[in-house]
Amino acid sequence: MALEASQKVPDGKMVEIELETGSAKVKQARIRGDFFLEPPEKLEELEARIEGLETDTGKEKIVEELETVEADMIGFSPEDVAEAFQKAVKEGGNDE
Amino acid sequence: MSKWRIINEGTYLEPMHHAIDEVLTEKINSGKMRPTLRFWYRKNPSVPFGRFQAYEDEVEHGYAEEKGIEVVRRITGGGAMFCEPGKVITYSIYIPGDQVPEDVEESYRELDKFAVEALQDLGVDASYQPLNDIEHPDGKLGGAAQLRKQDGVLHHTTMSYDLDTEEMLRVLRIGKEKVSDKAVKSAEKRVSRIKDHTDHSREEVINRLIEKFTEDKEHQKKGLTEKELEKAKNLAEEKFSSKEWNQKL
Repeated sequence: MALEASQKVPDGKMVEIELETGSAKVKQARIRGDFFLEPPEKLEELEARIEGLETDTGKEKIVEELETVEADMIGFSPEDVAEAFQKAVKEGGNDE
Repeated sequence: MSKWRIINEGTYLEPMHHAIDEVLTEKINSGKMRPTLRFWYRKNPSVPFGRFQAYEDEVEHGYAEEKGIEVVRRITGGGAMFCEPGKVITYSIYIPGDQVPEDVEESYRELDKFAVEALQDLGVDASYQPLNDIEHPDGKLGGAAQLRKQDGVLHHTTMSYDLDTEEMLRVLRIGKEKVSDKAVKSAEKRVSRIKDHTDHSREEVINRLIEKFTEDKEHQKKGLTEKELEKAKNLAEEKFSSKEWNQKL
């Protein structure tokens, strides 16, 4: 199932998440938006940290996973991604 | 501190500008170039969009193609902007990392300070708005984006001089539902234009920007070298005109 959600960051950035799920786990994750990430090549690593997580993973655990990536998240935070994750799981299903 | 290099020439297609940015950022990062300020001159309307944005979701691609609008993914994060030749002002700053505040917000404020002050000199009530915007009380005048390498920083900024904001709304998918799902993207904030607040021509604004930037710096006007152009040409063709890069996300 494809789950999607957008999270608006307080200073105006937008974080969008798309989760491809199966058997209550994230099979594929995509993080998109108008944020900054240094170095940029770390985007795939952030996504990889989310892949394999149970869909009911708690916010703190998601944040912890993202924080293991050695990158500067600018204009957004692991908390924003975690909130987008949970929003996607809760209400992000497509009516297809 | 070494003499600044000012590049205020060269009209190129959109992919070439991004290729020049990449080539000069590599050079400043490897210590092979003086700090440099470059102004962009475009041939066609374009949409440079953010490094981490989804290609499909930001632009009305059918409309862009019909109108010959060039769509290019930047090497910097941030959002999509609509640009038209002679109607926006874009500049790039390539600067050694040790001359830039480590704090990101501080660095945006610092590197756009000359522009904010130049606009104020011309009677435009501009101010820096964190993280990366230049604002007027009526709306957003422009935005900046940075790429921070180990030893060098690229900071580029685009401001609207007298952009066709109605055309912008036709090109950018602002406040429209995402292509990939049914969710609606939230509407961007209002746009304001330099021309709405001053009688000075675009050229005069650019000249004022250069004056302000260089008033406390040793500097020299010098265009791109043959070697830089050659490298950028290859990169424009192989990377910034390719589907692999522009549609990678």
